[in-house]
Amino acid sequence: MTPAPPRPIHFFAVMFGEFAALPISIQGVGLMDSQGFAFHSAIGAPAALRNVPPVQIKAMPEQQLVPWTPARLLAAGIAWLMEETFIPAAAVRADRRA
Amino acid sequence: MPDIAARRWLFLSLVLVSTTIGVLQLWQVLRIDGLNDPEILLLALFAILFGWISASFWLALFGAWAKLTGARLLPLSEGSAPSRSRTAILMPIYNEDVIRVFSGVQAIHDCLSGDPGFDFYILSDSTDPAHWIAEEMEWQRLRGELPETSQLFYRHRHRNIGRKSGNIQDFCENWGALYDYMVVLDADSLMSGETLRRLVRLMDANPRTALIQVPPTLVGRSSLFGRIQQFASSVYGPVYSAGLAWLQGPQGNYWGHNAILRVRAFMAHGGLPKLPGKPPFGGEIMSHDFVEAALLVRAGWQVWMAPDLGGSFEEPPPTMTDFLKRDRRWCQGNLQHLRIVFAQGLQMPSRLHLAMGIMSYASSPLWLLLLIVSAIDMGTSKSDAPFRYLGRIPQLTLTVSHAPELLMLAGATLLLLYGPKLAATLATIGDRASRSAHGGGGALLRSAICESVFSTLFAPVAMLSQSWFVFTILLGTNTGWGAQQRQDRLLPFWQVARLYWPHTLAGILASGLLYRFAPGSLGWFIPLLAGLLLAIPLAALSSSPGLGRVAAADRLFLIPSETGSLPVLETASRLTAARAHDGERNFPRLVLDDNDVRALHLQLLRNSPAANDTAPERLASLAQAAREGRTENFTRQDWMALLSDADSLKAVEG
Repeated sequence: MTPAPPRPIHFFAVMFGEFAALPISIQGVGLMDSQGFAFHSAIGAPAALRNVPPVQIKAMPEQQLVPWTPARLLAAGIAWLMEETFIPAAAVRADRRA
Repeated sequence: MPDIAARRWLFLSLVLVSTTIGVLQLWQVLRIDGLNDPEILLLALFAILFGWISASFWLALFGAWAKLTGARLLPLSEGSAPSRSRTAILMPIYNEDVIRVFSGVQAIHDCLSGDPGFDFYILSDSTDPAHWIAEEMEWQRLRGELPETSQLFYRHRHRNIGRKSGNIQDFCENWGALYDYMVVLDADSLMSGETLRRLVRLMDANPRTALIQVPPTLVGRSSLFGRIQQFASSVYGPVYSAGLAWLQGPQGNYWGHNAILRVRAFMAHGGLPKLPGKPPFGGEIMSHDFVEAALLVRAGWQVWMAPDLGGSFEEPPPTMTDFLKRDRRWCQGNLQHLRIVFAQGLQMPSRLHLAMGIMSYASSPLWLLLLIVSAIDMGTSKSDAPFRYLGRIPQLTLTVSHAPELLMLAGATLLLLYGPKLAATLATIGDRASRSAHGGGGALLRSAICESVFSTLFAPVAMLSQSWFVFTILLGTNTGWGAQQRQDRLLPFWQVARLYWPHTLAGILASGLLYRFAPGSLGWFIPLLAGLLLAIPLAALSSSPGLGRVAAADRLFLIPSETGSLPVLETASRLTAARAHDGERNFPRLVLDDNDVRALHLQLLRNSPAANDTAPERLASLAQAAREGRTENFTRQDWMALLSDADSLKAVEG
């Protein structure tokens, strides 16, 4: 038994079917122009080619590092000079018994 | 390490005592006819420099002692269970030899037998379009060769903010959260799989440890200069590293590569600030490694050095010129630490590390000044009181010897300079395995003598260059960020002459002045003058790979990697040699001509879009020129602009 021949489809019917999707096609052409990358994978490199893992951004805080400057050294020197000197209290000897 | 304070005090006391004895000895000589102003300056300079070389001497002696007594230099326990930690092996590169870089990565990967705990990252900062495209192609090739379970990533950074430290920071901020540890390598460094696994186990078992530095051994050069450095690093290096490890304990230092870091600790406390002001003293911190270690220690983390771990390698600069070029960069980086050495909150060992780095370069102009002042003093001295003859023949040049004290002082200086070398050589000869790995006792001794002669001749050249570097940096000259030349090659004579004529001229002038004004002291300066006078032939001949091979055939300067087998080094050099012929292609042009190369490049651009500052009109004109095949006049900037812009490449594609 020979298989049934494929059902003939009229060319215009296909064309009219495409017209229904025309807005999407126009959008697609627009995307081809603006986001050309999306269409490059077909040439050689597979679309899944990843050169880096997905990023998980976490900022590194900048450390506080107060460097030496002449002004800072001078200020520290003056502060040190002006610092209240600690004078130990005179030693008290208990000569007598309470 | 409960006794570390005692070691440090002992070290400090020995340095102070030996310096005091040396200074008193010189003072005894100088005071005879009364101290004049140059002599006071001489005494002050001598005190600083004698202290500096005493510190180096005692450090080496401590190291030799630690090695002889089998001291545990890294007193950390190692985890026994299989590690479940994730480690990223980072190779930051900047216009490096692409074949060499990827061969190194492949060699390390093979050594790890595809251990799934390790991922590899090539972090490119390359600004040369040929390097950029070659890196992408080589990454794709290697990725295809490795098993699917292996992870090899490649990232190209379009803006090199913060240079190498910025490159690492960029990794940490984007992918650091995925990893427990990171091993930072240099483009020319290698580490064995066993060492990497041990480092991970050590980090697993010691949660307060943020960093373990494995001192790298120099390997892989065939030029005479490179081989001499390799020998010195192999024989003398371990003694100094052991001394350093023994004294610094958990408040160690970081050398920028061949180290494992705890990502969490580094991300929390290793972010570098910019220093106020302009370069060379302000701006980005150039020698970032010392500062990062200091910040980690300040935050309470432990930073260790592991000199006995082994399996850590890097290549030395192949020529004197490359060595001095690197020194120019390091000099600026270390002098910039003058701003940081007194920064708030740092611990004393960290300040000492920074100070030692500064002194490594500041000592050169001080030596130069000392020599000038002592020559002036010898030339102008009227007194002949402390005058003695040396030996039985009064006609000898060395009859200028002023006194036994001076001779003793000169002897002590020589002991401080050459004593560590002698001790390290004898220790190596005493160890049977090490002796045979260096070619046997006779070869080792001959090599040590030749190395000492070479380093004596090289020292004044380095001193003069470093003094010039310090002078220009103090005047505010900034150094750039040039790629390092790592190829063995014989330097053309005219090129060497152009670079070293100032040294030769300084040698001629100094010889003339000494002969005219202080002929009696000329004998003392001969080793110094010889180095300067011979600077040009020394630089030219020592760059020769042929002479390096001749020396190797004569069993001179042999190191364990040359006499034995080290798998990671052998694999790396075999892979490099096998792919060496690929180096001559026009890589940027391939992006235009080869669909696969272009597709790969566009795909990677898509994954990490480039920031392009080039004007659209300029890009359009470049794309037009490229479409018409007129790229022969493209500059590096033109190529970088075109290759960074996907739309322009698409326009070229038509």
